[in-house]
Amino acid sequence: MKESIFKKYTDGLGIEESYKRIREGFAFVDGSVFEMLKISGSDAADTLDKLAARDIAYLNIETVSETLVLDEDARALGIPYICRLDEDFIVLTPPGCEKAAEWICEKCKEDGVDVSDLKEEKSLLFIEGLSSYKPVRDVLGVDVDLLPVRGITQVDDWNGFALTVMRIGRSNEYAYAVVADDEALLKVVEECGSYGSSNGIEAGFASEEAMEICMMETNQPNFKMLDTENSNVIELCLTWFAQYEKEEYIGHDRLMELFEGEKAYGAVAFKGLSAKSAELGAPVLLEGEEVGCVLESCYDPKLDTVIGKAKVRADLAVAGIELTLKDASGESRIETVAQPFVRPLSWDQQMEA
Amino acid sequence: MKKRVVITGYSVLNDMGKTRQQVEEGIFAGRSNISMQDFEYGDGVTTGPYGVIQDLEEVDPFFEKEGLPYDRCTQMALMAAEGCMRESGLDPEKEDPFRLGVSIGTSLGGMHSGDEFHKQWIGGGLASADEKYLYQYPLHAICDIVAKEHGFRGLKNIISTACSASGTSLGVAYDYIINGSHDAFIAGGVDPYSRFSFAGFTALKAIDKDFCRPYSASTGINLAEGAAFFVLEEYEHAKKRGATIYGEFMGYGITADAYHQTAPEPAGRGALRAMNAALDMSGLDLSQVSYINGHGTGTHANDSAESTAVSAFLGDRVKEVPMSSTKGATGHCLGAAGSVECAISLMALNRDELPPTVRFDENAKPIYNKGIDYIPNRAVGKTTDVVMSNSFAFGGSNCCVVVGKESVPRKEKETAQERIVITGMGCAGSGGMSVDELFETFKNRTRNLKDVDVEGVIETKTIDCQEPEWKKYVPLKFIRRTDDITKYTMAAGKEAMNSAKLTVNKANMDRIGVLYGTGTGPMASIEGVSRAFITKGITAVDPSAFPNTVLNQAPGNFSIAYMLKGPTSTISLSGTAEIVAFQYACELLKNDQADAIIVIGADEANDPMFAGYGKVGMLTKNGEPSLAKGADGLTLAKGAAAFVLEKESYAKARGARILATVLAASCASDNCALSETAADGSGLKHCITEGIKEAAAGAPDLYVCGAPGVPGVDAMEADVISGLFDENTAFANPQALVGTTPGAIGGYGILSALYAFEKGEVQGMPDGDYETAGPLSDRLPKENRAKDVKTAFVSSIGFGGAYAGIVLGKGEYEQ
Repeated sequence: MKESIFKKYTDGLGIEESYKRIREGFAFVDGSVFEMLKISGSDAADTLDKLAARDIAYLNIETVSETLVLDEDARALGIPYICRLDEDFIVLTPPGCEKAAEWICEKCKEDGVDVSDLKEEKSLLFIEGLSSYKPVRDVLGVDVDLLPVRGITQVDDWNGFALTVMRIGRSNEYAYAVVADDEALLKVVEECGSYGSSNGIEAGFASEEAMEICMMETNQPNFKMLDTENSNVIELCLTWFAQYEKEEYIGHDRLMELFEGEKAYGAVAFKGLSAKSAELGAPVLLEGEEVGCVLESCYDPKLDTVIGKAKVRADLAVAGIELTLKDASGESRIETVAQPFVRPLSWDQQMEA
Repeated sequence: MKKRVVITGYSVLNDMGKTRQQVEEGIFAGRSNISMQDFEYGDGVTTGPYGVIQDLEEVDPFFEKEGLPYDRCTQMALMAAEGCMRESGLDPEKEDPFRLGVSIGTSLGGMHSGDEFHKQWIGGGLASADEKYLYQYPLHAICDIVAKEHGFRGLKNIISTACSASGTSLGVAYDYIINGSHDAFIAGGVDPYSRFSFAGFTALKAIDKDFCRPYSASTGINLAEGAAFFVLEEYEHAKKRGATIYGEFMGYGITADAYHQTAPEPAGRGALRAMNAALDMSGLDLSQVSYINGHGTGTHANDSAESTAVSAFLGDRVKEVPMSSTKGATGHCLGAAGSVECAISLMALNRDELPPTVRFDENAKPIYNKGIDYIPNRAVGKTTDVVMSNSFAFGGSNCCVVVGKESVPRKEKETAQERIVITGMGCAGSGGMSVDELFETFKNRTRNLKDVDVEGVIETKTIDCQEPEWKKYVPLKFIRRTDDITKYTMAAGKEAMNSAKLTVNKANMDRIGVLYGTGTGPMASIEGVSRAFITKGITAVDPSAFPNTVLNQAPGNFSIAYMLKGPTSTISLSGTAEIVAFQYACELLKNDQADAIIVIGADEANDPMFAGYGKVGMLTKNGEPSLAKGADGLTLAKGAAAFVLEKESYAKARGARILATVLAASCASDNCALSETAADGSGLKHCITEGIKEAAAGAPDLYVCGAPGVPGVDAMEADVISGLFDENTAFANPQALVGTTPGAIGGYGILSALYAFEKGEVQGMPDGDYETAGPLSDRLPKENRAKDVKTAFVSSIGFGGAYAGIVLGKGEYEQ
């Protein structure tokens, strides 16, 4: 496996400084933790359309779909970004979604569709954060006003390099992904970093751990934590990454059975009342009776408590219920809450001119 | 040498005045006459800003002469047509009437008449509604009226693409003059004030509560009514008769955003391509452009996207070329906006003065920091040689026209004028949900009728076709939000593209267009919105339903689904819609505006349609097929037919299979009563003979009839073709099998020809207990006939007396 070109920047990064960069300034996030596939050929769209729970066949050129991918039993394999460049696609699978990448490779090969590991030629860098649009606009020359969410634009010549810039990310702040040669991305980091310094913006690399906190805060699923073997798509609250009227894709029929069947469990967000941590899979109790388990969790330095998502008995999947968490450290109290835990400033602050 | 097109007369009326002089005086004085108007709905009166022609009390003698109720749109059109003709001095009596055409852009047409009919229907039942209000309701009625009043018998054309309609209608006239088939056109646009539009735009929250401020505050639009007509004339023709030349129509560009149902693409790329195409066609250099009359509606979405596009277009010249919006002065005249603003552009040329953007807040911080001079509030003197005028519409239809002084030097742009070929075909609706199914229908001559009853008042028959499983034919995200006519359109279009193996990618998407023909468009959607505000009130209008009432929604959605960003337009005529769309596509391809164009014709068949056609007595009761001796009316049917047309070189380069070659196109019209055709058949005969002459292939092996089953029309066609063609020309009549889908008559006719080319047989009439009409009794048998068909004339006939035909050669036809 190719070593990350950003390793020297990411070793020893602190969570709190990383978090601050994302939420208040802009952060570079190492994309080497993603799988990056190039899918091409005249049947590429049809094959991907068969695998994705969102429409790919009519996905516009230079547009991204963030879509659920299921196996035949409707088990969630991951939520990749399927990015249509022209007739070719790039598929980016976040950490924890490796099964989705493998599945896509396998099915493409079955259908005779070309699939290759783009990481052999290119690297991936995310620039995410409240002010991330500024270096993307002022340094990379992208007209950010005109790049919609999930849009793609090509920068043909940036200091002699070609960049593919996509408006996607996991923090739910302003966010962009840049795919380019290693040398190009290192220059992007250098120049955007200087830009940040010159403009008094909190900028620099952010750790993957900090990114996971941001994801947890805004209900962005983290497949590194989710137990997709023992919990179904509905229980994991992932169905909003499927297109409800689409019927022709692998896993659809079983998903419909799940929808129509009894839904014994649902997912709900929680925060710690006395708990400061929550082991994955730890039982959750109500008045001594086990009613669910922890799906995802992390300690949030901003809120100074544990936050997470739990699978609970369907009638309890609402905000405002106090439950008991039981893990190796003993019993502690949590409360179910509505999301997001933290409202990203990007949702309310327009891009400055 | 390429022909030139000049303007020898023009007339404008809007809220500034009823004459061109009044409008000109008001515009350049920086005034605005938009005022608060009341509109009545089911829940009471709503007041809002609207530009209305003051004191429009004139009543043209036309209404009494024809025994029709007054209609405001007709009145406006007649005044504008009379005005431009008077000014031009063109005397139709001294001209070949078949070389004089009419091309009009409109969104609403006779909506006042339609609204009255609908109100009566809802209030007192269909039986009580007066059918006289229906004759001026179809959009093509204005064309028929203007053509008849002035004796013009060439092309009759209606463009209905909302805001870009009349700009495009000028472009069509330009193309038909340049191609040598016409000497002059009355061309322009008209739209009356309408509570329908006010309700719809209110539901979309697009209307400024106050008077609009384009480019400075951009808080919404003000609607308006208006009309502007021009006499566009071939230059040598104008010079020869000593006409005054007010300016030259130099070129135009039309494109699609393929982005959203209502909002323009934020980067303005479609608008930019329209401006570039217009400049290129005009043979001008950017340095020659003096001024841009912007679309400038006053919505942030338009003003922002347009400013971005214009800034990119002008580049370093952005500070030298001002752009103003005159919609602050006149309001947004919808389908007439393009022509009204083209008229204002002409005024600017002749005055060497640029009109201002009124109510421009000069103290506010600029919203669109693109360096553009929006000419705030006061007209400015400037030598003005060339003006570009923008119109950008719902569904992402963009148009830019260029007018200039006669003396402006231009480069002549040579185009190869190569052959146009058909490489793909598709259909959906009556007759089958695919070409394979339709060809089975032709082979087996099957025809399944079902009864229709509308309130016990209209009893007729239609072709029975099952509701399709739409997800097989239409992208999912369009199924819920579009109406049936759009779905049929998209299904047929998709099949055509698949059959042509035409894939869209970044390299070609700007060069593939969509042209659409329809008779009445989305009647169900229009009726739905209308019923909502009549019965419940303005607040009952569903904002997601209103965009579907615009006729170019179907091609707009198709463009979005398939990322087709080339030239796009919608033609709304009676039976000639699809053939005229086909012909226009050929012109665009020959003029190198695109490499491929998907042509689709479609119409619905539902209660509003049955009610309308039925009340004027056009529908069948006995169900006998068209050209049957006892046929007593149309068998109205729903459906769509689609084709991929390409430049021959483009098709060959990508290895496409060529189904047919277009050998000729022709058109003509009658000056007869509305909704009829002239009994003497001279219009149809002229259309056929001109087409055959142009094709230079002798009498065709096959003539595909356009007769719809209305006795007088059928008899007229039967007489004409039995006189023109001997037994060597076989006749086919697809409407006898699939019924009449007005917007797709020509399309089903082309499919009948392609069936004959492919299968070596001519489809016959359906089985049944009836006889075929007189002169055709032995030439339209109830059986298919084997024949090696190499050439076919496909005919279409429109009520109001319009004829359009094409001659096709089989495959890569060579004589």
